[in-house]
Amino acid sequence: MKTRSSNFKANVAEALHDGQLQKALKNVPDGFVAKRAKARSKLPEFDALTLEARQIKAHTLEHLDLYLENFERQVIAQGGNVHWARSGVDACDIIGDICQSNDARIVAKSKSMVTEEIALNGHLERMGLEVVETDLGEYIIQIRGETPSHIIAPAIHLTKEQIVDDFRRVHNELETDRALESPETLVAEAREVLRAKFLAADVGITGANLLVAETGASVIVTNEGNADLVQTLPRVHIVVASIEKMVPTIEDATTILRVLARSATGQELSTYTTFTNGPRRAGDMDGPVETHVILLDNGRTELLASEFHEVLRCIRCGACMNHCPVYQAVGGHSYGWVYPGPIGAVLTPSHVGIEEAYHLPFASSFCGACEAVCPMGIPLPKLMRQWRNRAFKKELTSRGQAKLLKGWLWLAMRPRTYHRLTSWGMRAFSFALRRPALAKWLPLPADWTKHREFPVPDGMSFQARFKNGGHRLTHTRRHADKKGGR
Amino acid sequence: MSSTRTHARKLILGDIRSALKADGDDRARQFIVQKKLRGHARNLIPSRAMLPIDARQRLFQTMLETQLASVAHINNAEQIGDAVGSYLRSLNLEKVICTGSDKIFDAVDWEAAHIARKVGRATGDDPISLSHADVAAAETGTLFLLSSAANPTSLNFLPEHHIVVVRAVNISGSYEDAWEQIRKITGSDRQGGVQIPRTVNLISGPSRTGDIEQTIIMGAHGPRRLHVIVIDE
Repeated sequence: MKTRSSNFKANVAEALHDGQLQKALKNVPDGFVAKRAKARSKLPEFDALTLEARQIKAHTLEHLDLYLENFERQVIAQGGNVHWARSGVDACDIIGDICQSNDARIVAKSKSMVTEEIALNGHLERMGLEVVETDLGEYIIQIRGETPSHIIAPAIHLTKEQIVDDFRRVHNELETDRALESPETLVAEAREVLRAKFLAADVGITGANLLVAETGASVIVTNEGNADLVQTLPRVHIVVASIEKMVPTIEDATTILRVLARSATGQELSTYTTFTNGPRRAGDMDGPVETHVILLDNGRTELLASEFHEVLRCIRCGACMNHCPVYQAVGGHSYGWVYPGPIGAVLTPSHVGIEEAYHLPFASSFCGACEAVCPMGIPLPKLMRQWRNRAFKKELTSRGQAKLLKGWLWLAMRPRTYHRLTSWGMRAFSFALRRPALAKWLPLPADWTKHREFPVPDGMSFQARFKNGGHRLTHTRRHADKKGGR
Repeated sequence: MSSTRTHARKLILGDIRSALKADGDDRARQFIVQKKLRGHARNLIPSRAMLPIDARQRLFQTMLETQLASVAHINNAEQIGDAVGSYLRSLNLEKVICTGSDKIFDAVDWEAAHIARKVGRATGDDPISLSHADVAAAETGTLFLLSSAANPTSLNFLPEHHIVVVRAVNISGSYEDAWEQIRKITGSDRQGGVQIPRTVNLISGPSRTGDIEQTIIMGAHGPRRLHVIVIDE
């Protein structure tokens, strides 16, 4: 996928003025955020389960080589094939070869972020294959020539009206004056069109939510059932999974499944969770005859060795972006690459380079909502800060910013000067801001004060108050208590 | 080509080991991993998954209904024909069903129930399927369908209506108990390799999508309706 991350600022400006997008994004807080909160409140053990889930992942990562080897043994014992791919290009080549050796013409796919990451569709299309995305959201963006704007709801940036227009444009073999205005008719039409593709497909490609080392299973969750049709009907099934999807046992997979759907869509469990173990067995009347699992590195081992290794616990639930005030305002496409939101701000620089993705780790106020809702306890603000540090060390920071930061550093290392300056500053600030004209306009944060007034400081720095024995602080609080008591 | 792929395997495992500053031949690490895999110990199980049998069966039904499946009860397996018939009548459906070769369905007098039974996998043209779930878990109203000639996987996804029979005694509280039953049924606890069925489908309701403005619409690609018949005996 082509990167547009370096255009982040321009992308954001565009997104903020896009009326359709802003309308569509309003569904995020009412939808995913509210539903997750409800699901969490219905399971008293939820927080304890997330603690266990992250321990499972941390343990697995520490023994990843051995679990991968066991997984491979199990898959082969069941008659499946395992391929190792260091890069996206290698993975695409392997998958292309499998399609070619099976004389495939049509490839049906279920939603998979890792295949977005390695730009698989383009590769297969260039080979002359017809690639059909079958997840409804993914199908919609495929016919629009777009990329997903959310890792679990790829078409979340679109309104129903836009989708109606797309279906009329693309499904031109159907009657032009058909009624399409309700979501039900849209879903029914997509079902009809895609059903034919499922039945005709030669190869089915899915991702994996988890890999189970104990049994060699790949686990996939959907609500539509599309992944199951993809991995049941075609003659060949290919699983593409990055190596950090591994968990040791079925019991461990179970613990993670208990937090995955609740964190993602707020469901108790996704409608369909499927454990898949290799090809058709003796006596089976359906299922693929040939199965392949691609174990993909594409930067994971590098992350494992780095100070960003905690990000490998990610299970791609999307909670961090659902709860991110920046994502809620600008949507996923602004981030300019496959993974948006806070997780994208950490992953994208590792894939496309901090030079290209420079703006992403800065697109956060570090409010901490992402870390608070992450079921895997990934310290996303800390990891973004580490990218900021790297950017600074690489001298990617603008000259003005760098000078400002260096000036601040100089000052922060001289406490006496610092205190004197801040206490003068506070007084001057307080005096100036009492003039309403100035409160509405400050020279540096002019864009900010355009929309709100700067709060007037009390006139004393914290240090000064502290020296006064907290006199004014206590006074104010007592006053507030009295007020509240009335 | 196969040599570059063997190469990739070696390089990836090598990169992992150097990232972890660990050794693949380290006996202590291998012991930890083998112990974990063989023991497959349980983690925390929510209290709602450990209810006594009556409450567990009620929870199973409540969860399924919340997830927009319908549930009916019968006393014994002989009544399956009648129960399927009354579901088909209630929705005015054609009396043709597709099932696998599961023994539980062989014992049913389909003629008496005026239902035509096709035995085999489902094609795109079969409107109604009937499966037998060997196992279920009450904690989220989840059916576990094990693939085999007895219950082909295509039955679970292609038809518009999916009817599933489950014995009340096979409804576990937790996923863990359900998996333990599966391990017993398929003999995977014994040494010499894992024999989990090719496909284990955990199904908790009819197919749905929320991809258009986060509105939930039923019948995306799989069955529009899921009807569960519980055999209470």
